[in-house]
Amino acid sequence: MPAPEPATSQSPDETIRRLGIRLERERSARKQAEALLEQKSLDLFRSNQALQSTAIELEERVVERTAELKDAVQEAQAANEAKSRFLALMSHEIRTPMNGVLGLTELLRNTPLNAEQTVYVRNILSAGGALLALINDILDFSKIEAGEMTLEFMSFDPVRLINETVELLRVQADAKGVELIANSGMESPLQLHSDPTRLRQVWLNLIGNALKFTERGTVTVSQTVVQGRLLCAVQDSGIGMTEETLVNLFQPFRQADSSTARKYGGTGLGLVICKALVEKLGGNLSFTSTLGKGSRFAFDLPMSVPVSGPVAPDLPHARGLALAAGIPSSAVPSSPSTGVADSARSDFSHLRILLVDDHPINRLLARNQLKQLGCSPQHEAENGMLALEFLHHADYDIVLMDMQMPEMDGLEATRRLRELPLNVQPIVIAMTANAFAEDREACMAAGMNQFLSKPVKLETLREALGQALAQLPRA
Amino acid sequence: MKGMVFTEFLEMVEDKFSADMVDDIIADSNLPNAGAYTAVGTYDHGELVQMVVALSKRTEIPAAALVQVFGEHLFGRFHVLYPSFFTGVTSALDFLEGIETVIHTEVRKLYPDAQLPQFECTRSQDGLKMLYSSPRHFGDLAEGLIKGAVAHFGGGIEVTRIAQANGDIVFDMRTVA
Repeated sequence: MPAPEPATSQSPDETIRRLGIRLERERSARKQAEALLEQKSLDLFRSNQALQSTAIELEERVVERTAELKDAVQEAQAANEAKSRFLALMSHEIRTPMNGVLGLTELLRNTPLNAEQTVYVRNILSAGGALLALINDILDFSKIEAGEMTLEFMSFDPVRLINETVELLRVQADAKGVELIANSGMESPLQLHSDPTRLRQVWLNLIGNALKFTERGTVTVSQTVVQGRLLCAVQDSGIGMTEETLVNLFQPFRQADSSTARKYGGTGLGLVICKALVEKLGGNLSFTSTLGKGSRFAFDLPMSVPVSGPVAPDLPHARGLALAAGIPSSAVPSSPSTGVADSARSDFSHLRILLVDDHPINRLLARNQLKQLGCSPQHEAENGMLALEFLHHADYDIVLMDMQMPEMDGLEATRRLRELPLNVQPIVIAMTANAFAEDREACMAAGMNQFLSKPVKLETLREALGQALAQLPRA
Repeated sequence: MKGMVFTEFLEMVEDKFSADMVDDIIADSNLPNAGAYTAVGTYDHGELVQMVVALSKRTEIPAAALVQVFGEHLFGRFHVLYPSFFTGVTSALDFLEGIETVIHTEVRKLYPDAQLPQFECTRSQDGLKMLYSSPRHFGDLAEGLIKGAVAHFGGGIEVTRIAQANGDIVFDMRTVA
């Protein structure tokens, strides 16, 4: 503060009084400022503390939320796995009694029946076949959902495959009065490297669908090779679909509408499975449809360069698939493999057979099937442990082995029997309700020779025994 | 009103008149805190009005003129005390236009309960219109600050003050060719 101007005529007392007032004013201002500063410092301190606790709280919340999210994801995964396991388990559990139902019905058909009974039996077989197809679809769907669908690639002739498939379905087409045409713009033979079983499944499904939704007219099946890709299509003159339906086409368990389900049956899984299979095989499934005019489903597959892979055996699953497609077995042409046909006519009477299955109905069925084939099991065991007991005391040519059994399962029993110093190592044929490709692999890895998926049809068993007979050392 | 307006006012009085004048107008105004102001405090704007009136009486200069001069002085002090608000600003109109959006925003961060005057700005090709509205009716102070800004950035702008019926004031600024 500058000194008071000397020009003013102030008495020294007045000057001192004024200076005193100024001093007091400045001191008061300073105190105000100090109080304010303290207040502001306190505010700042509190704000900092609040900020810190907010930061800690936020971090805790992030940790908490992250943990919650992780739990939720795990729960969802666990639930999905549980669903897949449940589906697989249920499918297996249903296949086991179905084996009894279908097998015994088949046996029943070969007994003397009157006309009415024949119709009943035929209907039981047809309904059973449809049920089995449904179970197979659910099994496939659960595998696809779990990302566990395994493929078996090999070289085969797609022209032959399509001709055989169309022949399977011709009976169904003829019965409806629908013309089924197979167009192949290719010179046979042709080599495709893919999974023939799955490709046949796709064809059966698409052609089966086309026939299902076509009351009159034609269903045309075609395949051509363009730029190294196999282009396949199924065109029908059926009821077609609305745009609304097309949107839901690849949604599982969805059909055109509930009335469609009532009228035509089915789970709505077929196309979902087809699409997934085609994609797994390296292709793409597409469709066009006009309501009232018909639909066209098309897919393409890479031809691939057939590296000297395994060559497909003749129609290994044709019968099973025919059954799965709800086709009466009489419609299935007999296997073109003459070797099997020859051995099938062989005499099985001298075969020493051990039947291993924990299920009494399954044993009854197998016993009766063997009887029809002219042989019988020498012994029957309820589990792997008992089977090994029998093997210790007697020689067998063939063991018919179930997979899932109490005490000791079929895989373990087979592994152990392969270790035993037996006079004769028997041919082990798996007969199991487990239908997965891994099950087949597990059986082979355990030392089994053949794999039959239940329900086992009489003809299939005949072929299996024929093959086994051919492998046995002639005494 | 922010304390810095009071401290700057008293310093200006001391500078332009005398320290005794400061004592006298404080004594005349009968202020609650005996004229002890700090820049960081907040005080009733009525106290400033009282001191201006007292100064006007003693100097026989109209209060409006005194306030306007104080405004011009205050702008110069702003530039000294808060240079960060001036970085990158090259024209008076840009600076004035940013008072509401830039400067008042910053002031509210430090003093959330500050009662600030409002400047509604409308920019045109050759000028700027500022609608001033404040419960304190310090239009003269605003005019002084505006003129201080114009002078700071080198002049060349004509400021016209238009009183509104509701007590608000429009400052119409035009660039002089």
